[in-house]
Amino acid sequence: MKLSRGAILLLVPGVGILLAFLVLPLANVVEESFRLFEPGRIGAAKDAPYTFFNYAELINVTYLYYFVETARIGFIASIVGLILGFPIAYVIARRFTPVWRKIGVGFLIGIMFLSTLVRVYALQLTFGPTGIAKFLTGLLGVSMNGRFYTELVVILGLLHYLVPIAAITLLGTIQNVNPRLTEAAQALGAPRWMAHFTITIPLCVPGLLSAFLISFTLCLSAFVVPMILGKGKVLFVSNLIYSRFSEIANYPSGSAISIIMLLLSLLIIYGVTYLVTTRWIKH
Amino acid sequence: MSIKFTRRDLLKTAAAGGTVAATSSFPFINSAHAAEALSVVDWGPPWIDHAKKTGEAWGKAEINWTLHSGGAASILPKIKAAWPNPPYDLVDNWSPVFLSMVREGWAETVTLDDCPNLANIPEGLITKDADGNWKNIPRGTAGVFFTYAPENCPIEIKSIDDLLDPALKGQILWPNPTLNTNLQVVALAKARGGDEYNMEPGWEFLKELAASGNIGRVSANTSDVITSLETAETSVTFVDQGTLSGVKGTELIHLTKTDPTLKTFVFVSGWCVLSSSKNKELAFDYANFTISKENSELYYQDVGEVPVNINAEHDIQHLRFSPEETDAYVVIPDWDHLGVELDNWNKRFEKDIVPLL
Repeated sequence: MKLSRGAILLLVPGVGILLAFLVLPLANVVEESFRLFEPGRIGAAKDAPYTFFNYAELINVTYLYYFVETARIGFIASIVGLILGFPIAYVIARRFTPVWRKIGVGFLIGIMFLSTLVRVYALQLTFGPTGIAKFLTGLLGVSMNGRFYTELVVILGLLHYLVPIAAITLLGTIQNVNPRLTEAAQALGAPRWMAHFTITIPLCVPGLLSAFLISFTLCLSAFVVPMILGKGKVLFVSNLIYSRFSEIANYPSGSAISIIMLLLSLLIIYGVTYLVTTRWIKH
Repeated sequence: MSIKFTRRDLLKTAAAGGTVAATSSFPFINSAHAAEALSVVDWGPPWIDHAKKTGEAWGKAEINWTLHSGGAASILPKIKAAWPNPPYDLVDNWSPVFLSMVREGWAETVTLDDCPNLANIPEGLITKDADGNWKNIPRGTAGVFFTYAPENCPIEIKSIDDLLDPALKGQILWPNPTLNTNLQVVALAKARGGDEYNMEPGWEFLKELAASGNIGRVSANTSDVITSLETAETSVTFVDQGTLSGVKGTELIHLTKTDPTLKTFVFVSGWCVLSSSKNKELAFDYANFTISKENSELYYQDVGEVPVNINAEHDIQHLRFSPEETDAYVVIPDWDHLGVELDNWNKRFEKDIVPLL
């Protein structure tokens, strides 16, 4: 592909901004991650020697625990988000009149514009000791300050973002599935549920994959939700990074965790995309 | 006569006006701002409420307030990121962070000429650099200790081993290592024969505590502490006197003289003028104003810390120790060592403790 001079000129501002605000800061983080940190200082000294220590210390079962926990809770929240978001999208796309469809989509978009802190503190008030926590934990037979309930509230916090995003992502996909296909299946004797699960859902797999990847990526980088609702017991990798940078001032270690997290996220996302596209969509 | 004002005229006028404003007013605004406004970093309530009150009474300049977020040391990366032009003149902090600031060369030297009220403060409380220069302006001294809410706590706490009582399931609010510079684990270590140089007994104790399920929340900031105790989510914690002043609706019993296993760590809080400040004179003047006898007494009333001005009166009985009580209950830790070890201790907490919670 050969670009004309005009096209190159048009690309320059965008590429310049990307270089200045994404590539250079990222390069700075990579460079910092290889610097030796002297405890008690604020970040690495300018002439600090290079080292692999910041990465080596992460080769530890406990740090693997944080990465696995972040992915596990993110995976559960993303799947639940899809399960809850799909019917919402389906009803809006297929059952609503055009007016109600607009109202429904507007409502979903409106939820996404709610302030993060408002959402999270609303959840904390509702599911905390001043809300329905005692009733709910009594019903579930668990402790209000126990691990299970804390994880549950964190997942609810994540779902607050994920359900509208998943629903909005799936709207277009569902609208693009030709309803005559399910009608044909039903005309040939398939029950409604079978037509839905064998026709509609498989045809929505690309949209489901997109919605899952968006949800999962948001979960991996979630910071405020686990910080406020996790009670310091459910910590995501982003919380470790924050602690390194803002509380301990160990920038090199924080940078190393950030780079590992970035690589793992890319790996997971490309892995899932590859698996689904090669094993499912092609067949 | 009709006046013709086209859209093009409007755009021209707006552009010209904007250019004039951009080229002429900003330098004046900036210089006026730098000369007249003081930028002060302080804690949330009750500190900020007290500081605003004294700021108004002082009245020599406008003060722009910034609140600390997270642990005391969380201001350091912000200063570092903006050095040599951090947007702060004066920072309220405490013993271990003063040492970090001195180590980085950020703390301006202070003399009696700058702050005459320092003459009424014991010199031993002032942080010094290697050459003996004064580097901060102490305002109060207080303790970090265990406390509990008898109304909500299922048991009476008489010694540190009571923390392991199964009746306390989910009842303990444990500070993360960045709060109190991890003195809470030093307290556990001391109870089992260790200290800040030998922390293994403390970590073993904390592992038992985490595995017991008694830790209901890990606090990351002062509002966590106040909210958790006020809502009865938890009922036992290890906390500093100033933060406790924010707990209004819950009666607390402070375990400062209950048992020798429950230690009180004494620290100094106060001001540090940044060496980068363009408003040093104003910053020293305001700091000096806050440590007068009257304002020190007001500080005690508002914040609850013991004022360091020797002429100021106070009545905080649980932090008033006789010489015998001092020997039994009071610890003045090696702050410099705590500051250096904090990174390792934070990692240790992440590795050994959090997975057990």
